[in-house]
Amino acid sequence: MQWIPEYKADVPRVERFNFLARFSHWGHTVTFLLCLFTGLALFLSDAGWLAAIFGGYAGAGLVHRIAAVGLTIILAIGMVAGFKGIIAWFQDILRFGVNDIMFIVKFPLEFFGFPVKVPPQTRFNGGEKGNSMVTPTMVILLVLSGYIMWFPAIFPGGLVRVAYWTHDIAMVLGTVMVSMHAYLGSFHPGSGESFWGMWKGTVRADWAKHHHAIWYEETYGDKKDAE
Amino acid sequence: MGSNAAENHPISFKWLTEARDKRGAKIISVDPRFTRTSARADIYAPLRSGTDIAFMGGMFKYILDNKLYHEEYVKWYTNATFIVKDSFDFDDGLFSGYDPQKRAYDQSKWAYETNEDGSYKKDMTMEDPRCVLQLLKKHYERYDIDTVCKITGTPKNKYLEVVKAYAATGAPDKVGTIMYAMGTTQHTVGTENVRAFAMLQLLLGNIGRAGGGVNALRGESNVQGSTDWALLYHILPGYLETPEAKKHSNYQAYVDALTPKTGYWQNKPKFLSSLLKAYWMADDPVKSYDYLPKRIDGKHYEHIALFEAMYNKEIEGLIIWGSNPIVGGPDANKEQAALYNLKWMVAIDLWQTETSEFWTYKAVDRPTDKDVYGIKKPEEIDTEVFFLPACNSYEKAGSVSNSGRWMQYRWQACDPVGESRADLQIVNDLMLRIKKLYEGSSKPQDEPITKLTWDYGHGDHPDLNIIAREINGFEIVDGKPGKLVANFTKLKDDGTTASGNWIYSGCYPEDNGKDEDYLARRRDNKDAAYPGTKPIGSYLNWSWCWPVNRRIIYNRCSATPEGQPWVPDLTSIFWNGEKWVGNDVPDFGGTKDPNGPGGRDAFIMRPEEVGCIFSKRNEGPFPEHYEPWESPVKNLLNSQELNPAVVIWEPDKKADPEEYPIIGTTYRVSEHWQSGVMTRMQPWLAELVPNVFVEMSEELAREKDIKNGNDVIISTTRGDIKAIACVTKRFKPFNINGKSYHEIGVLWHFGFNGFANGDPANRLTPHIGDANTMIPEYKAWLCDIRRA
Amino acid sequence: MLKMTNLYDVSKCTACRGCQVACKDWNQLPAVIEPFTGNYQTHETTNGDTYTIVKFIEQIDDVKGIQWNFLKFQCMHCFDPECMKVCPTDCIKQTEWGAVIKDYDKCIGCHYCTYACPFEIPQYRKRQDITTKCTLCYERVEEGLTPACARTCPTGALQFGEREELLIQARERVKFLKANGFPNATIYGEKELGGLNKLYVLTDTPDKFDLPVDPKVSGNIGFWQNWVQPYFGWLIPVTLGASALSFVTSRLLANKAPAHTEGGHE
Repeated sequence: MQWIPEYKADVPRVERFNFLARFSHWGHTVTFLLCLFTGLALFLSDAGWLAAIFGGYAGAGLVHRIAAVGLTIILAIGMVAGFKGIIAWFQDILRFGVNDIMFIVKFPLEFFGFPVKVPPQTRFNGGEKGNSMVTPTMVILLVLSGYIMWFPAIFPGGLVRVAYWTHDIAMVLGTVMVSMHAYLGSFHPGSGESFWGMWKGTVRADWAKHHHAIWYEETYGDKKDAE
Repeated sequence: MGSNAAENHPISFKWLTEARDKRGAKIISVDPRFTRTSARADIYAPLRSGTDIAFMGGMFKYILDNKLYHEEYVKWYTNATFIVKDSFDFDDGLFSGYDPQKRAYDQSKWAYETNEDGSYKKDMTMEDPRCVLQLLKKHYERYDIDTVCKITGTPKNKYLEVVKAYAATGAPDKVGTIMYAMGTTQHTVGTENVRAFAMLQLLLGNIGRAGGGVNALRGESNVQGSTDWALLYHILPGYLETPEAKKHSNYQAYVDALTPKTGYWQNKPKFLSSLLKAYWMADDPVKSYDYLPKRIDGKHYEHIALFEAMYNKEIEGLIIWGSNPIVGGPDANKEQAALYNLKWMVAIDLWQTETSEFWTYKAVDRPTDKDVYGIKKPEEIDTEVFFLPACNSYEKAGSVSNSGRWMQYRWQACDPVGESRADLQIVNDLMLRIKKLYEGSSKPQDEPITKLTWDYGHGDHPDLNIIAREINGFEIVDGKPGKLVANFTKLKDDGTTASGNWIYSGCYPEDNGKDEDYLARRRDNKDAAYPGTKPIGSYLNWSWCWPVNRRIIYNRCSATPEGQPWVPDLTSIFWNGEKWVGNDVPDFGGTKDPNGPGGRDAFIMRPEEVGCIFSKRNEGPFPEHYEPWESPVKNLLNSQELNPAVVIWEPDKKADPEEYPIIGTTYRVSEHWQSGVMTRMQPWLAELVPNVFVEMSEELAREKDIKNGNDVIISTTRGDIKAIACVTKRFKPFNINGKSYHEIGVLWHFGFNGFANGDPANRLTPHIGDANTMIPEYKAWLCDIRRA
Repeated sequence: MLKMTNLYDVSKCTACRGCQVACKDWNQLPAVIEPFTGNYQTHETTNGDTYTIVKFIEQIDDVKGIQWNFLKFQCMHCFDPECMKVCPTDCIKQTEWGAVIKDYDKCIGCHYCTYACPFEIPQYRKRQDITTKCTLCYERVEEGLTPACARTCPTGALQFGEREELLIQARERVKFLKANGFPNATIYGEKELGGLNKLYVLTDTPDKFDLPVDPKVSGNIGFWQNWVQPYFGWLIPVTLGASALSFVTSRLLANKAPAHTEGGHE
C-alpha cells in the first residue's frame, strides 16, 4: 500500500516553494489544526473527551487562544515578509481561465481515480486556485470573528452575534477545504508528489512538467530561455 | 408633604401601599421636586421650598368657604368655639403685642375671654365674630387660590386636585393622615408649618382617630426617645420644662409658674418631685431642685446658639456624642471654625467622623478659594481631641422609641468589636469616675454630684432592669427602691415616689422575675379586635407605648360626642354605657360619661382640654406666611418678609438675590443616612450613591450650559461646594407671580471620609432657625451655580 | 412540579434598592463603585459582581405628566433559555421549579450566553473568567426560604411563590391598575419568549421600562443554533469520508492500470 510517493533525490527536481512559503504554510497548518481540535471541543456537544486531551474546557480554551495568536503572528509575518510571494500567488489566481474550469469539471472523476485528461495548468491548478480563494478567506474570517468573540465588550452586540455563526461557517468550510487539500497534497496518488514541494521545497521536474506545464515552461522551461 | 416617605422611611410605605390596595386610600405628594414618593403617589403637586403656610392657608380658606370641615368634631373637640379677647388683632403680618426691639410678642394679648368662674367663654354656634372659627376665617381671607398659587408656584389645577382630595376627609366617615418630616420643620417658620398641619387635621376631624393624626417621620429611629428623654436643652425627661434661674429660682416658683389650673398637666409637681427623687433619693425635692442646672433667663442654648458661642470663644470643651456637625450642622464652615476655639473635645462614635477629624488636612480641602470663616491647617489648631469608640445598635441591648411612641426593646445580637462600648456603659463609667473625683467633698456647690444617686448594679455594664424599674417608678421605702408603681397616676409630690420619666411610668409595673415584666420586651403580634369591631392595628401586646400603652392619643375623638364610633370599622374606643372599651387604651377617664361634665374634654394634656386651632407660639396664634430668610421674591401677603420672631445671628450673611438668584434646598436619599458616617463606609451603599449630586431642572442646566454628570460649583455667602449635576425632568422652575425662579436640591449626606465621599452640602446653609425651636433653615436659602 | 416564580409589581416599588443590596449580601459580592453620572441607577446593566439592578427611567406622559419608572432588572429565568442552548460546556441547567442556574466550575467565560440572551444579562467576572447572573437564590429556595431580594422588599413589590397563584394575583392587580389611572398596565413574562419565570406587573407598556416589547432571540443566534451548529458541520465528515473513499478507489482503479501508479506521473 503506497501512502506518500517516495522522495527521489536522484532525478531532476525543481524548486516549488521557498523557505518562507513553507514556514508560513506549516505554521498555519499546526496552529489551524490546534485551533480546530480545541475549537471542536466547544462546537460539538458532549465533547468532554476531546476537551480532556487539552486539560478540560478551560485548557482547551487556553490552547485555542494561544494557537490563534500564533496563527495571527504567522499570518502577519507571511503577509509582511512574504509580500512579494503573496503578490505572485495572487497574480496566479487572477489567471483563472478556461483551463482551470476544465480542471474543476473533471476533478471529481480524477478524485476517485478515473483517468482524465486536463489542459495545461499554471503554477496552481484549477482546484488549487479554488483552495487559494476559499481557504485564506476562511482563515481571515476566522481570525476576525475570533477576535470579536474573544473581546466582545469592545464591539457592538450585533456584530458579536454575527461573529458567532461566521466563525462556525468559516471553520466548516475551511476545514472542508483543508481536509481535501491535506489528502490531495499527500495520500492521493498523482498529486502526492506535491507534498515534497511543500516539505522539502522541490518537486520532480517530470512531475512538474506534467501537472503544471505552463508554470514549468515559464519558470524553468525553454519558453523562458527563449525570452 | 414635607417628607419623602418612600425614600427616607421606606418601611412606612408598606403600610401606605396596603392602605391604598385594601382600603382605597389615595396618596398625595407635595414636594418641590418629583421624588420616589411622588412616583408612587396618586396626586403630585410641586411647591416652592418655604411656602408651606401659603399652601395650607389656601386649604383652610377653601375648607371654610365650602364648609368641608367636620362640624361636630370641630364644635366639641376643638377651641373653635372659644371667644378670644379683643386685645387680639392682626395687621400686615404682625399680631398685636409685637415689640420690634426684642423681636417678640406679648402673648397675653391673645388670651381667651373667661367667665366669672374662670371657665372659658364659648359660642357653640361658632358665629360670634370673636370666636376662634370666625377669627380663623378672617385670617385666611387673603389666602385665595390665585394668590396662594402665585406664592407657591403650584399650577392651579394641581393645587385644586390636592385640596379637593384631602378636604374630602372632613366627612365624618373618612380619615386622612399627614406624614411630615424635615421638609416641614427645617424652616424659620417650621413650627408654624407643623401647627398648620395640626389645625388642618383638627378642622377635618382627623386627630385621635385610627388612620389620622399628624405623623412625624423620624429621621433617626430613636428620635422620639431622644425628645422623651430630654436630649434638648429646654426640657427635662417627660417634657417638663428646664428651670430658668430668675423665673424659677426655687421649687415653689417653678411649680407656681408652670403648673396649669386645668388639664392633666395639673399633676406636674408629682412628676417633677418623682424625677428629683430618682436623681437625688436622699433629699427632699424642694432641696434637690436647687441641684438642677438653671438656664439663664432668655438665653439661647440651641445647636446654632451653641456653635455661635463656640465661634465667639465662649466655650472650652465639647462632648460630641454620635453627632457630626461638620456634615450635618448648618453653616458647616462656621461650625468647623467654631471647633478650633475649643480647648478639648471628646468625640464618641463608631469610628472617626468628619467632626472628630475636624483638625486634619482632609478637613482643609475646599473646591474654590472662598474661605469666609478662616479654615485652619492642623498645625494651627490647639484643640485636644479624645476619641471613644462606641458600638452600634446590634451590639448592645436597650429600647428604642418609634414614631408611635412604642418602646421596643432590642436584644443584643453580637458582641462589640474591639474596644468599642455601649453608650450606656460609657455614660455609666463616666459618671462613676466623676463621682469618685468629687468623693469626700463637703462644698455645697459639689452636692449635685456628691449627693447624686447612681446605683445601677455592679460590673462593666449597668443593669438594664434596674434602670427600667427606675424609669417606671417605685415607692421609696427606707430611702431605697421599694414596690413598683402601676403607672404615673400613682406618682406623688410628697417625696414618697421616684420615677425617671413619668410618661414611661407603667412600662415595668410588676416584678415577677420574668423578662417580659419589662413590657417593652413583649412580642405578641396578634391584633385582637374587641368583640363586634374590626382590628385597627393597635397590637396592644406588642411592646409597650406611652402613655400607659395608649396607641392613639386623644382617642376620645374617635367617638362621637355621645360616645359611639364615627366609623364602626375604625373603632378605637367607645362608651358601652358603663365604661370606655374598644381596641385601644382610653386616653380619657375610663368611666367618664360622655354626656356628663367634661365628657367631651378629649385633649386632656391641654389646659383648654380641647384641640387648639388657636394656639400661642412665638410668632402668633395662627400661622402666617413669611418668606424664608433668603428669598428671591417679596412676600405677597404682608410686608414683614421674614418671620418677625426669629433671631438673626448673621445679618451680614444674608444673600442678595441679584448675586444668588437660585433657591437652594437640601435633602436625603434612601441609600444614605443622616451625615453619612455609617452609610458612606458601607461599600454596597457607597455603590448605590457614590457621589454628592445636585438635582436641577433641564431649564436651569440649559441656561448655565451644564450637562448631566458635569461637575458644578454651588456657592452661597457662606461657602462653596463641588457636586455632580443631576439634570432631571422631575424638577421644574417655579412660576412665582409671573416670573420664573429656579430651585436646586443637594444631598447633604456627604463628607470627606468613606468609600463615598464629597463636599458637605451644609457648607451652604445659613445659621438661622425657627422662632420657637431654632431648628435651622436647611430647606430654603439662596445660591448660585456654575460649571466647575 | 410547580413552577416557583418571582413576581415584581412596579406599582408598589419605591426603588429603595434593598433588593440590590440583599442580593450582594447573600451572594457575598463585592461592591462595584462607579462614579455618579447623572442617574440614580448605579450601572448601565448588570455586571459580573452585580446580579440585579434597579433601573430609573424618567418619562413624560401626555396625561399624567412626569413619571419616574422603576424596574428591577435581572435574569428572567426563561422557560426556554437560549443561554442553556448555546453553552458549549453545558454548564447551564434548569431546575424543575424553573430556575436557570450555572455550574461555575464548568464555565469557561466564553460569553456565548451573554450574547445569546435577548436581555444580555449574563456578565463577565474577570477575576474568575466566568460569566455570572441571578441564581433565583436556588440554594435558599431548595431549603424552603424565599430569594434574598423578595425577603427584603419592604413594600411587598417583590413576592415569591407558585407561578399559577402569582399569575392570578397579577391579573387581579392589572385589572385594578387599569381601573385606577394606569390604562396601559400589563403583565410581562407570562407569554414572552415562551414564558419567563420572573413575572412583572407593569404600569405602562414595556418599552417605558426599557424592556423589549416582544423580546425575541436574535436572528443571528437563531441561525447559528438552529442551522449552522446542527447541520453545517456535517460537511466535514462528508469530506473526510470522500477522501477516504478516494484513497481506496484511486488505488483500486490504479491497480487496474498499473502503469499509472508511478508516483507523480499519471
